[in-house]
Amino acid sequence: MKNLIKIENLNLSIIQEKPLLEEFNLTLKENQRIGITGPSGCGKTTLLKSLVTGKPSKFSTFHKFYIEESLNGQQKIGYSPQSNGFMPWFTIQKSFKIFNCKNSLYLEIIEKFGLADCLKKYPIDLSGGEYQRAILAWNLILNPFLYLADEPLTEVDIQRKWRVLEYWSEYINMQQASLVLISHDIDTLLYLCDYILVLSGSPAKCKKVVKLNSPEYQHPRDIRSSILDVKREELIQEILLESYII
Amino acid sequence: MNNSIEFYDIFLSSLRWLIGLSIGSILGLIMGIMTNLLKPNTTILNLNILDFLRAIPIIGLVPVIQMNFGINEFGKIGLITWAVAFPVWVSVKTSFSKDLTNALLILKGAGLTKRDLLLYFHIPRALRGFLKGIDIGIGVGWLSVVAAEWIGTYNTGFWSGGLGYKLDYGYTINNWGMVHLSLLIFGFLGFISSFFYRYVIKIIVEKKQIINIEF
Repeated sequence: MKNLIKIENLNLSIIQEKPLLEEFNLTLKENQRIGITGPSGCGKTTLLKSLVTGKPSKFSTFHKFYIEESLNGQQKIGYSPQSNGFMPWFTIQKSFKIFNCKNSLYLEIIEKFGLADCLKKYPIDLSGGEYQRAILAWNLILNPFLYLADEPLTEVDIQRKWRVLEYWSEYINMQQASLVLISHDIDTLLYLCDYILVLSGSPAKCKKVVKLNSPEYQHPRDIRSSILDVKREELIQEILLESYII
Repeated sequence: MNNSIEFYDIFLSSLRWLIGLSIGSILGLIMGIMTNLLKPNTTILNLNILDFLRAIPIIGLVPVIQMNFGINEFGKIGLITWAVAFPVWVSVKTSFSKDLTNALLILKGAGLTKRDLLLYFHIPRALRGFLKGIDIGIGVGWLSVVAAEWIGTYNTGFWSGGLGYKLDYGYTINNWGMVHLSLLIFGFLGFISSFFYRYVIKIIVEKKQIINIEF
């Protein structure tokens, strides 16, 4: 399988000689899903933006920083930022129409994401949850080979969130796409990802990799399944350890 | 010289305002685009020579224009153009701020061509700044009409007259009714022009959902 992302020994900085993230390594292959979690301000969003732009932020150093910009002639990377993803001058429908998409698929995504009432609205008129669902739906309409998602469903209500996650996970499988997901939500990470990187410290380092790539964890997963409990516990232990509660 | 305000005075002032507004807006747009293309962030706080020029008071330019261009229309319309260009420039310049970086990253990641980026992102973004800038320019334009007509409009053929000139003349001959009426008409013209502009923009631009803009 082809490497879509290969990062070796990255010291990510936005201020000179003050790295946010240190000695960071990441390899993402085709059809793989990697989740990243860690405290706020440790450089997760900066890392994701670096991946979208194809170059690390100013003052960063690295041994290797590679991201595949096209796969099978497809030049599409889907990026879901935390905020300000839409162009404020277009309605949601007009933004969606920028990316060509089969009409049947378009209608299916709109229905699954519950966005029918939002199409004629401008981004400023959407609630936080609607905005996030719309951004993710926009990514799906694009049908990218790689998703880069930064806390994509934090403001979505719990019922819709699981419906969206289910559909998204199926969609990624169907399109054989890959994913780098940043999230603070353990269940979202456990549900979607094959590997979960736990960052901690200052400057942050990858302290643990939780693996969910064996056959018993194949997608689609049941979030209530007891086999995920061990991994959940593992993640919680690591996160609590870092926060010095234990 | 007629000691009253005529419709012809209103017409001439409006014509000067309209020409100055049109040229000033286009000039401001070009300046805004150029400023962003040239990325003058080599200077402190992105300040450049235009920030120096825009701080020069319009009134202060009246004697300079009189000395260099006399009382012809070139100087007067030039003064209105000068006044309008700067708010439009600032508005276009700030419309290129970094708060829309994420939207641009999405479009770039989606592999949009340069033409599409221009069509869906750069032009609408600049257009929003431009349209908002004109809204400010409308008011500034009327302010500068007074200053421009202080240069003098007497005995200049077709261009003889103007509301600002009458305001100044009313002051000279102690006709306070004329002064107050001029001010009221200026206020009314400013109100009507702003209303008309916003209404047209709302109808053409927003109702057709070409672009969302709030004044």
